Amino acid sequence: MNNPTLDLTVPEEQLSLFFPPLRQGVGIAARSGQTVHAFLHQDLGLSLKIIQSRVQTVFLNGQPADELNTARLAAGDVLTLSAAMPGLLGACMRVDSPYAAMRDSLSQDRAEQQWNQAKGETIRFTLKLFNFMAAEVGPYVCKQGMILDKDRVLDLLETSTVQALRADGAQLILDGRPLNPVQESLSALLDQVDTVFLRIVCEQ
Amino acid sequence: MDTILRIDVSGDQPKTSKEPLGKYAGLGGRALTSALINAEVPADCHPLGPENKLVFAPGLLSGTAAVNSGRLSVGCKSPLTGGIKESNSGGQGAQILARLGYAAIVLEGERSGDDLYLVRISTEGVRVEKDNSLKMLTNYQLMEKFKDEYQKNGCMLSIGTAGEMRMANSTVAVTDPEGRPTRHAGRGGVGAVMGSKGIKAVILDGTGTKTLQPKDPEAFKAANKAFGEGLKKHAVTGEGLPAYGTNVLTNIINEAGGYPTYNFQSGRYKDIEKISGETQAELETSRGGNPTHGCHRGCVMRCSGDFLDKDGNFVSKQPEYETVWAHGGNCGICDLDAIAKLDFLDDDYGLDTIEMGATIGVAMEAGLLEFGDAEGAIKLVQEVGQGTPMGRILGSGTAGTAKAFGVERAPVVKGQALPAYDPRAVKGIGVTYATSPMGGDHTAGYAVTANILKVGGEVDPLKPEGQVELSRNLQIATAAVDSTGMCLFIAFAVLDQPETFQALIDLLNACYGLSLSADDVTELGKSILKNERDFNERAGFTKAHDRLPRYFMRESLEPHKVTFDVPDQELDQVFNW
Repeated sequence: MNNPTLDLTVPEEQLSLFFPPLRQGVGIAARSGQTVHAFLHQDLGLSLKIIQSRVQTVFLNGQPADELNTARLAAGDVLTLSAAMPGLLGACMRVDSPYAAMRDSLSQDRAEQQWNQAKGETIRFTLKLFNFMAAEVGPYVCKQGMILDKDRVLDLLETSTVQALRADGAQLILDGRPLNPVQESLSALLDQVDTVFLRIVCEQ
Repeated sequence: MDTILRIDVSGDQPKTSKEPLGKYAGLGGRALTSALINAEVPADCHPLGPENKLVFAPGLLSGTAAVNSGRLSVGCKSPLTGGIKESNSGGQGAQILARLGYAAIVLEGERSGDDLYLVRISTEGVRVEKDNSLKMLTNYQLMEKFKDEYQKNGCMLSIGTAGEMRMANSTVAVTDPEGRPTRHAGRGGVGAVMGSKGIKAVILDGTGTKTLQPKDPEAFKAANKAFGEGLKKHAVTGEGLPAYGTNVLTNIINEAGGYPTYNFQSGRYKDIEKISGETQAELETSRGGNPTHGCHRGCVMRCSGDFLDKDGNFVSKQPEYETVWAHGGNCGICDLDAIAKLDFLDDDYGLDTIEMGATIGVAMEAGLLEFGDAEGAIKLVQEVGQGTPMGRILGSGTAGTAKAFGVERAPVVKGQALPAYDPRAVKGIGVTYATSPMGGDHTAGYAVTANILKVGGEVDPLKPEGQVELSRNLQIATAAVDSTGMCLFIAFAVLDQPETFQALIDLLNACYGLSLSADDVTELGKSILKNERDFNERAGFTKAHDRLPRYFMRESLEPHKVTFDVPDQELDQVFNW
């Protein structure tokens, strides 16, 4: 069994528990060749206004990306989102920065790249959400689901806060089946698993 | 704010005199310090000799109700670089000094003997008293001794043990609204020049002073409102800085592969998450600390904060990005508690955190201690503060330490340590590092965009020479902003919001009854740089000094495998306007 789906429902104010892993990077399934803009808008469901006004700094594989409509995702990529950042370097790194010349040796240009993967093929890449993006884009990612190594999931769910939430009745559902927090050990159930598809839903 | 106070330390007892601004009329902040140093200090003098002077100058808008106008410029010939220096600090100093009516305090003359003096300035006048009980007190010890005197309505400018020992890495501390010596004119060894004059502390008492009134109150009020609103509505000045402080940059610069790690050996740090601004803010909040705090009254961005230990006790102010980098990633240290302790020690002894962290990075490369050894780093800083023989070497700065230990990889320009951005990854900032009259300095090219000021015409970012033109324009604009007393972080709002930039010019015009245009601001910036370049040239600097160390051209930086390859001929064009 690999990539079992684990669903956890938490109060909205506790969603920040999952910000650290979002900063460190989580696995996302997408279509090869999809543009960054299409991923943000179509897959995650971010509004155009949020993309334009809040997603001010974008890195693809550590390189600042200016053209979100042409920067395309490939297997193994690392896509990083940030709000506008301070400092001359923060300003340099922003999408379409007037200081882009200062970091031109880093800038991302995949528009003309030849693709060795068929467009539309399902691929996995890493998404990192820094600073305000964790709070503003994170809920969309949590709802859509993310792929995490089993050990990271277990570490996350074993934090005292999550344990307290589960004790208060927060439900954990593994592949559609609610788990009994007392009688069933998640680590035993995931014994043969490498990665988990984790979805976090906020209580209404 | 039209008086210069001179304190001449020559003879048996320092003498004070006051004079009008005279030929320095219309200047403030960096414009005033650099003009005065260039005019009155022989460029070839020894920085610790009697010919050098130390100038404190509030900005043109300091002391008024203008938001974020509390920056203090401290100028001299630098013991660290041998060139002209303007070191800039937050804290309460600029506001109180301006409200007391002083455009500048100048410390000058030849100290006789080893006596230490304490200066008190109030509306009653100026008193200079011998006080040898202050010898080898640290900044926090001075705070404990004098805070009842200044905390409510004043401020203290002081040197710790490093300045008293005339170390090339030594600061002038400026107290914050809580009276703590957390803000520093950090760069270039200005504390050593104060130490060479035998002045341990200056206590400013603002009791009875009033906010300075502008020439056109109505226009000033409207401009100040527009300016403040511009800062508050901008994503960086209104959200990012208040929430996370400057350390929010850590993740970004690391992601870009421009985060100097292990003494500039790599552009990425494996333990970055442990020291990021987000982690720091979460830790501070979980311990009951305040991650949103202004370094002076009237600041609306409030990028500072309090760092508490796990028991809720004050450790230091929230370490800034440069500090977390210098003592953290640059040294392979990923413990925020250790970094906060190092920040406190730097503040207490009066050491520049950038210079100190870079120095320890060099010491680690030399094998004096291992990368990642936080306890060892703390012990070394304590040695500096105590003035042991090893501490004296380290306190001479990064370049001096590299010489002492035979290390080539000294990340310095003109003898001053580079800040937290690798110039190979972001070459435009490498141009500024190389050519700034101040030596390796990230704030030298920090301000408003060329496309607002129209300095030197529009820049085509696709042309390779764009880096040089941008650096030139940024250095000009920064010099001008440094003269206003405004915090450089206003630049982000000004960058994106032309109406906020106009509000800044409106503030200056309403304050002084002027009709400045953007062109005038540009000319002010150019005149400052001209003064500074003129001084440095007479001090022996040539274009050969406007270069990065050669290893930045030879050694490629991971992960992007880039070197610094901006040609010398282009660097030589930066000041060719």
